[in-house]
Formats: sequence, C-alpha cells, structure tokens
Amino acid sequence: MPIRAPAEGVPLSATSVIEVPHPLLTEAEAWLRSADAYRCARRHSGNADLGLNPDELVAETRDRLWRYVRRNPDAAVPESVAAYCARTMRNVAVDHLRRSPINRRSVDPDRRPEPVAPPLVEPGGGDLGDRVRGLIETSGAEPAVVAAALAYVTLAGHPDVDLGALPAPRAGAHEHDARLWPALWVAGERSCLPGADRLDGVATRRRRSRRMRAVKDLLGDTARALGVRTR
Amino acid sequence: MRIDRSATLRIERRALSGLPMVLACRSAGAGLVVDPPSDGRLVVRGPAEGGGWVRVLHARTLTLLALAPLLPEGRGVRADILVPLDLDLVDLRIDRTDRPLPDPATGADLVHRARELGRAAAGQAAVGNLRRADELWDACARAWLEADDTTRAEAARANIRRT
Repeated sequence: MPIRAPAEGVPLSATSVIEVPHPLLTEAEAWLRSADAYRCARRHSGNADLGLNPDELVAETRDRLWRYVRRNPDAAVPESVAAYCARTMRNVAVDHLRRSPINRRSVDPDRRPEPVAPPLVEPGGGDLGDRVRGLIETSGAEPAVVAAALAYVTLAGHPDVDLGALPAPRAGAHEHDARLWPALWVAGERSCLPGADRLDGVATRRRRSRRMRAVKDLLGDTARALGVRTR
Repeated sequence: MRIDRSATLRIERRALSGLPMVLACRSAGAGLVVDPPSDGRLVVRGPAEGGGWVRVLHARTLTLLALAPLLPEGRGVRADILVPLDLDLVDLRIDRTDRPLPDPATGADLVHRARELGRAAAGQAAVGNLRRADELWDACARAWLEADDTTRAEAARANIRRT
C-alpha cells in the first residue's frame, strides 16, 4: 500500500512522485510521530535563533527525508533509522541557523552553555576592557595563554574582526570555540589546530582541548575577579 | 619605506595610506615592518634576530592590547595580531621583546599601579589638564621602571615631552 504524504507540513512537490512505499520512509514516519522525535525537535528549537517551533522542525525533517528518497529511490535503510532521522533533524536545524539573518558560525543547537564563561567586554573596550586586559596581563599565566585570552577579548568586543583564512571550527560550533580557535592561532598555538599539513587527529584535539581549557580558566578567573556579568 | 633607528618606536600616519611601514625599536635593535591593519588584523614582520614576541600597547594608556609570538617566515619572522577595530595604527605602540609579560616576582600591584597612573594621565591630558597629566606621566614612568618595564617607562616619559 502506497505511503500517503502527511496532510500537513509536507509540500506536495516533495511527495507527489513517491508512489511506492520505501522502507526508510515507513520507519522514519514511525519515528517522526514518536515522543523521541518531538523531544529532539524541542531541544533544537530551544535555540532562539532557530526560528522554528518543534512541529515545524519535524515537518521540515520529514520533507527532507522524502526529498532524499525521491532523489535516491534505491537508498538502503540505515541500521538505526532513529539515529539517522535524529541526525537529519539536527542538520535541518543547523541549515536553518546558517540561513538566518543573524547567522553566526558559532551557534550550535546541540551544545550546552559553557560552564566557564568569558568576561563580557563591551564594543570599544573602554574602562572594562582595559581592566580585563590588565588582569589578564598580570595573571601569571604563560605568554601563549595570555596572548590567546587577549585575542579572545578583542574578538568578544569586536566580532567583525576579519579572521580571513584563520582556522575555524565547523559551522555550528559554539560561540566560545569560534573565538578560541583563531585566538589560539594568533597566540602561536598552531600545533593544536588542524592545518594544511596537519589533520585534526585525536592528539591534536586533545592538545586543543587542554589549551582551550587553560584560556577559558584564565578568562573565567578574570571575570570573577572583576565581578562582571558573564554569558 | 624608511627606517628610523633613533626612535624607540615611530608610527607614521603615512602608513595609513596603505604602504607598509617600517618601525624601529631601539630596545630590540631591529626594524619591524607592520602592514597597515585591515579589519582588526595586523601583520608584523622582522628579521630573525631579536625578541621572540611582539607586544601591542595602547599608545595613550599603555595598556597591553595584544601579544603574539614571532614565528619563522622565510628568512625572517612574522606575527599575526588581532587588535580592536576602533583603533588606528597611530593609537598603537608595537614593541619587540623577549619578556612579553611582567616578571611574576614583580608583583601585580606594581603593574596595576603603573597602568592606573597611565590611564589617569591620559584622562587628564584628554581634558586639557596638561600640567597634572605631566605629573601623572612622570609618576607612571617611575612606576613602570619599578615594575621593570623600560619600554613602557620610556613611552610614559615621551608623553611628558609631548604634553
């Protein structure tokens, strides 16, 4: 029996050419109607920048799956359709964020806020910016960590700084990571970032994680010392 | 392109025309070439000899704005620096050094005091109270000397002469 397109949320164009059942769509539809799917959609749509409610996100995911099957009628059914659908939903959410007018490569619906937040530095720096930089300078941290923290503060106050071809995390990475990557790069910590001659292997990621933690700790300590609002 | 070896650090407005600028740092004894900042990015090049770090200070308050290691590039070295977008090259002092940060033994209080004196002096100069600004710059210079930062001490003294 042919699968009927759901009455709502699916453009006719996406479904009208599907006339035979496809096992992927059958199983996907079951997942999309489940509580798991709704929970997943609610988690992604909790990001205020997404601009989609959970129902809309489920519908968009369904639409994407149908379009995929239309393009690939012989597509194999994944081992775990639920995981496949959840991943598709996440991709739909990320694509929406990328297209949004307030798009920042730093927004990731899957990530939780960092436990250690950097100091809030108003554009232009001003007195607070000077005090933040002064505390960072005299923190006793090693020069590379201080250099990265100062670069981070500059990026926090001036998000429009041209980063050019500097290494950056994947689109959708957390805001802090999007600043920390270029900050580490200008601080000379190139060995913990992927590059033309270096893959992002396990050792590189571990090194990066340690260096990022050191910079975040310094920024967190600075914020606490100043009693400034963090985000 | 011109080299001025007499000045501690010389920044010329001509650099803002888009030409590379040559700076000379007496303490480092070597010239640094600074590309004009582009959207907050500054590239500093220099010979291999000399200090391994570049410090970027705010010219008016002597606050440390950025720090970057000089990494090998061809026969020389290069540092890439991020600076606040609202500052021009004339607002910056660039310094090549092997001691980019205060010695921990110096004590943070000394450095804080020197920096606060610099900020106060800049504030007084900004409102036209030049005599008070000179007094504060003098105190600031002595404080930086005490903190063992001769570059910033010289910069503070230079501000006295300017006002």
